[in-house]
Amino acid sequence: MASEAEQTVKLVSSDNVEIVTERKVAERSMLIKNMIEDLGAPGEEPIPIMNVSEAVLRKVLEWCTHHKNDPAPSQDDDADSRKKTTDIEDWDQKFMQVDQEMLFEIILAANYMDIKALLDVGCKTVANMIKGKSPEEIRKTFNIQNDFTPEEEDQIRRENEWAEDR
Amino acid sequence: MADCAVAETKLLHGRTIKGGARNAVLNTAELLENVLFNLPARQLFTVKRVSRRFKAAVEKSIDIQSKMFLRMQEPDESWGVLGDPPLSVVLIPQRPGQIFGCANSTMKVVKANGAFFKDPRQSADEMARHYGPRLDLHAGMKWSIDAFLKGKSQPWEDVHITDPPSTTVQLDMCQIDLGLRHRFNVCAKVDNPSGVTLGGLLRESFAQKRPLFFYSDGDAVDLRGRSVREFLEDSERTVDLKPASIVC
Repeated sequence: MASEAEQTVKLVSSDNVEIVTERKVAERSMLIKNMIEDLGAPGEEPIPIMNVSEAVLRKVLEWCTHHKNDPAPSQDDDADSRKKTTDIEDWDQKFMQVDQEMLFEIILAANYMDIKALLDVGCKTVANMIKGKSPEEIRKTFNIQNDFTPEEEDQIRRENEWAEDR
Repeated sequence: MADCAVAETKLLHGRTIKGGARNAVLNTAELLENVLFNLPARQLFTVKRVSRRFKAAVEKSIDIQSKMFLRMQEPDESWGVLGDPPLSVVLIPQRPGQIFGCANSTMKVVKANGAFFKDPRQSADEMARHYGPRLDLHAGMKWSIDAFLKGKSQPWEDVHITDPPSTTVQLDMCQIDLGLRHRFNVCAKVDNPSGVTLGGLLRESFAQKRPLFFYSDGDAVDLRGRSVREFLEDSERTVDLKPASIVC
């Protein structure tokens, strides 16, 4: 039997493309890790990743490959990892330089595949796009509809005006 | 944990519509919360105006509310503004509208309100090394403090300045800079069994009868036994002293 490091797994994307990858890489995803543990015999049966298309899955696996040797998060880290820092390491920053739709696709995939560190990097990247912007600019950036009545919006504006930097 | 998030995004799965993934993320409360949590405390107050979903995410998240000091947490030393006892904090102004002074708290203060104060790690310089840890008020609050001074209630009045709340704050020398026209130094001790708030801190300072110095238009002024508040009220009534400028 092959050692764990050499083992491969077959993943199938939502658009039915088979991708073979190292088990260690795939197991950055808790979803896949749990599935492998449940199924036993890794490498034989393809694992369907139902919510993720080939393009996004390849991108996610690129991240997992770079981070395959990161220490696994402990239970404690899990609880407050996002409280610790809002910095994003250089490689991740470059990795996240994709169009907006792909960025959000990665976040959805990380959420679905349960890859907490990637989810956090994605969310921090979106937060950086919001940082320092006015509500109007945020709506424009993400095509968000203002669903407040003018009176409601005015009241929220007045209550929080002190926190506006100008 | 993400059951409802997954369920919601599944509905949108197979989407070809433009912005489908973006909407799926921003319309999922848990993911939106995860994004917004990474914003500076101050901006959390203003992003509420983006949409109902943004407002709900900010107001319903326990973690975000804690970051905004609207919900107090158990002592947490991660911020580390202050060193070993005796615990003190120095507030030093860099620009008009800021306050400085030296405060000794009877409680172990570990975190200052990020919505009021700038991150001290970003302003570590010669002064900080000389005076110890420091906090700077956001310059953007000047107009709001000015309005507060004139008796207009402000939404931040009852928000604590530290987490966990400080029951006593001693300002050894607090300079309150009201912008171009007025600035003064006071000594004040502020007590509040349920925690000193920014409103309480400022109210106490303004009520001081004996400021060490008071400057108006660059000249030292004798307050003749009046408090700063009384002086400012008298100034409003005289023709030659216009009200302190409000930047809007």
